[in-house]
Amino acid sequence: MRLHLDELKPGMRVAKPVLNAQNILLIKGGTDLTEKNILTLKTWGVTHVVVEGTGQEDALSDEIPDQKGDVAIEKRLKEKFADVLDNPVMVEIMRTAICQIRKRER
Amino acid sequence: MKKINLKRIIRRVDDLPTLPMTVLKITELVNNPKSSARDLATVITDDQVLTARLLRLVNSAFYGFPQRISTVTGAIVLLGFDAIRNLLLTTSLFDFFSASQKAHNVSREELWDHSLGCAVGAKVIGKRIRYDKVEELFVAGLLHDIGKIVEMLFLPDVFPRAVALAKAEHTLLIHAERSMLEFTHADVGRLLAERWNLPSKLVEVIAGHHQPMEADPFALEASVIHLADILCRALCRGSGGDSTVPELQAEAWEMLQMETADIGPIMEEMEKEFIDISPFTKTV
Repeated sequence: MRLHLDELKPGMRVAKPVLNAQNILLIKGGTDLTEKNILTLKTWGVTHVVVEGTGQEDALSDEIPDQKGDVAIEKRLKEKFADVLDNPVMVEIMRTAICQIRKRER
Repeated sequence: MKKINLKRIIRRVDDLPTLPMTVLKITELVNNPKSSARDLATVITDDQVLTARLLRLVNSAFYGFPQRISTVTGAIVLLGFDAIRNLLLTTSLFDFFSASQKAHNVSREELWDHSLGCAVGAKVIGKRIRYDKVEELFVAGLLHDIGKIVEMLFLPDVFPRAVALAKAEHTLLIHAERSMLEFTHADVGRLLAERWNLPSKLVEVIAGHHQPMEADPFALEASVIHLADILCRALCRGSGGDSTVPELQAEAWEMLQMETADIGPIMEEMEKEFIDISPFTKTV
């Protein structure tokens, strides 16, 4: 499947060789991506990469959220924001932060 | 208990950490309208470490240039004088943070991550409000808590007590400082920034990041840092020694002329940019 650079995650396997604009090989096919690889691609201005897999795996893992972790994040943030939640902007900041931290920890 | 006054720090002002000579020279050159890109390049290339860092940073994903920049002059032409000064200031700050002494309850790494998170936030907010010199905001974010580093160095007995008080009372460090000392990390930050001859915009923003309206005529810039500070605390990126979030000041929010709906995209972008730059800064 063809993914945008922002969707790449360490551990994904590159299906086809990735070349830069000058056709120089950056990453061989079959490589398991590391964070450093992804940074390299970004530096070279690569926008899309073909990785192995059908995309089904992601959809499946999304359906089983780590509920225990989620509750802990929410509790931590609510404590942090305890004194400032009478402002609607602060409520939005807390809500967004909870979403982003969940995404990061998944 | 008698409060400790700022004089205790001012008396030791000569011991305050200094910036590398090269950065001071560059600040002078940038402030002089007659300087050329070649003058600037000559000073930078005299310092090999600085040259290597500058090239690594401009070639990092954070700047996102598609092609490699291999010469200092190329970097100056591409980024401009002010951006180069800010960039060199940034690389020098890595050393500054790592040279500072560790207070037992505040980790330097956490404070660095907090500063970097705030810098990234300031840059993203700046882009959103179409501020024309976003890299200035980035540096302001990086520097906003610099006073805490000085407190760690000069008040190794008092600073951890202020941190402990803030944590116990679930309040901001600045409130704890006000009850124990006659000054805050914002006052100390101003002192250091003046000592370093930083532009008055940076001085005022560092001094006013908790009361942005008092940073006039740079209240807009201070408001950006105030919001960025709140957002990176919310995202739990690092810690500045307290574990709560400052209240968003109504005048600051008004000044930024943003909508509540802007918050989501800004914080998402902050996450992306933080991941881009963070591993890079750890290896410098």
